[in-house]
Amino acid sequence: MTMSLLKIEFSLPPADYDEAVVFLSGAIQHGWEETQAVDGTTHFSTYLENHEAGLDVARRIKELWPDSGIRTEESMSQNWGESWREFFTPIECGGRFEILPPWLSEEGHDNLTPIIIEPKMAFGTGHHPTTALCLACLADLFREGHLAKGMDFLDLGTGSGILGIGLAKLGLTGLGLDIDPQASSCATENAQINNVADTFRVAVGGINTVPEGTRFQVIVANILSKPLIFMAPDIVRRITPGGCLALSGILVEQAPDVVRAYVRLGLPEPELRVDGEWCALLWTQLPALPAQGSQRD
Amino acid sequence: MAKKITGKVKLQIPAGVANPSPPVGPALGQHGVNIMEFCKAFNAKTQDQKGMIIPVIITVYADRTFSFITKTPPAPVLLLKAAKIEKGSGEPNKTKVGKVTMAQVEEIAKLKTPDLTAKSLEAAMNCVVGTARSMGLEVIG
Repeated sequence: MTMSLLKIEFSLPPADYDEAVVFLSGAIQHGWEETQAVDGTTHFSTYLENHEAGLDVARRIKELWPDSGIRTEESMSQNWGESWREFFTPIECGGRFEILPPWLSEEGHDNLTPIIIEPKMAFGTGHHPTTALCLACLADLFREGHLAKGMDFLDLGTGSGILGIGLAKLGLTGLGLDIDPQASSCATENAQINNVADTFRVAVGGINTVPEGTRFQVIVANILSKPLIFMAPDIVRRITPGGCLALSGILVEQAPDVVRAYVRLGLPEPELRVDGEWCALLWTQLPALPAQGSQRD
Repeated sequence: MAKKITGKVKLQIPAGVANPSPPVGPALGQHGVNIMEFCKAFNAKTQDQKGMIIPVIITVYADRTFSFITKTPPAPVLLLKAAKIEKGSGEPNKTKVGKVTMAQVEEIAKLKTPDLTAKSLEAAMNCVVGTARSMGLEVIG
């Protein structure tokens, strides 16, 4: 949806920089852009949806710094994500999958399983290493026989639904959860586009939305290290003995902390897969664990 | 071979919650940067600092790949948070608008160390004390 924004721009010398940052931190909480000239002058620019509030901010800036050259102009919002669409090329993952945007859906390779993803607000277009890495891991696990048709799975933090769709296309059946309703809606749409809506169900919620006692043979979670550590007990006790766990969205430097959180609950050391600064942790054939897995510390 | 830099963008945006809306979208969209990828990486790096506005400098390369570094929040912003006030004094020599303790100064100096040129913690603390006084904050303890 296009909306009218008020763009505010002004420039200040180095002596006024700190004061301007303090002012903007209070007045423009979604942030601003700064460009520094050779002489040290900083050019500030920001946008506000609320024109009245924006004009008030502009008036206060003019009062504080009369020589700042402040100016305001109406600017229409754009689909800011659109500008990189032209660079959204097909991505092959693990020699098994090919992620394609809808406008290239007919251009996939016959020997690869297509996953059609409409790039929207939900993370998981496949152009981020964590997603591609996780999909490649899933392809390997399937090839090695750790994943098989008919198994059930949980895709936690499903985003665009890309991992769940990949698993569903391998013949597994599962649930995608995301606490962001927008992501859930996007994943549902993508499941339909990929004709897997019957085997990949999507809902809004986190790990605790899953009823106690429900277990999955496969859990994948491409989120961030902190929530993965926090949710470790809840995730671990929802894995069927003998099942698989794949965690991604982890910076390499954060991996030891994540591993520690899961090993402490009785899991063995995982297999580590790295792509640049990101990594994925894989566990297969997980042993049955004692009941203390529900305890957080 | 060094990558060719085609642009640098500096933003100050809230930690952990970047999204493609302004200012991120228009600033990066014009460079053809994958905005979602930046948001995810930025949010991953700053998830511990939610509630703070973080300066971030994004370097854009000729192949439209990018890298970014985050800085620590500006000292005046940290001082205002520590003093629990919204703005500094217009006449710092005459009108004091709040107080910060030396312990808070030390905490801020430690946080700011990566971005300061000060050679010791004591020097960094002196910098922070100077900034506090220039804002009309009394330093106690």
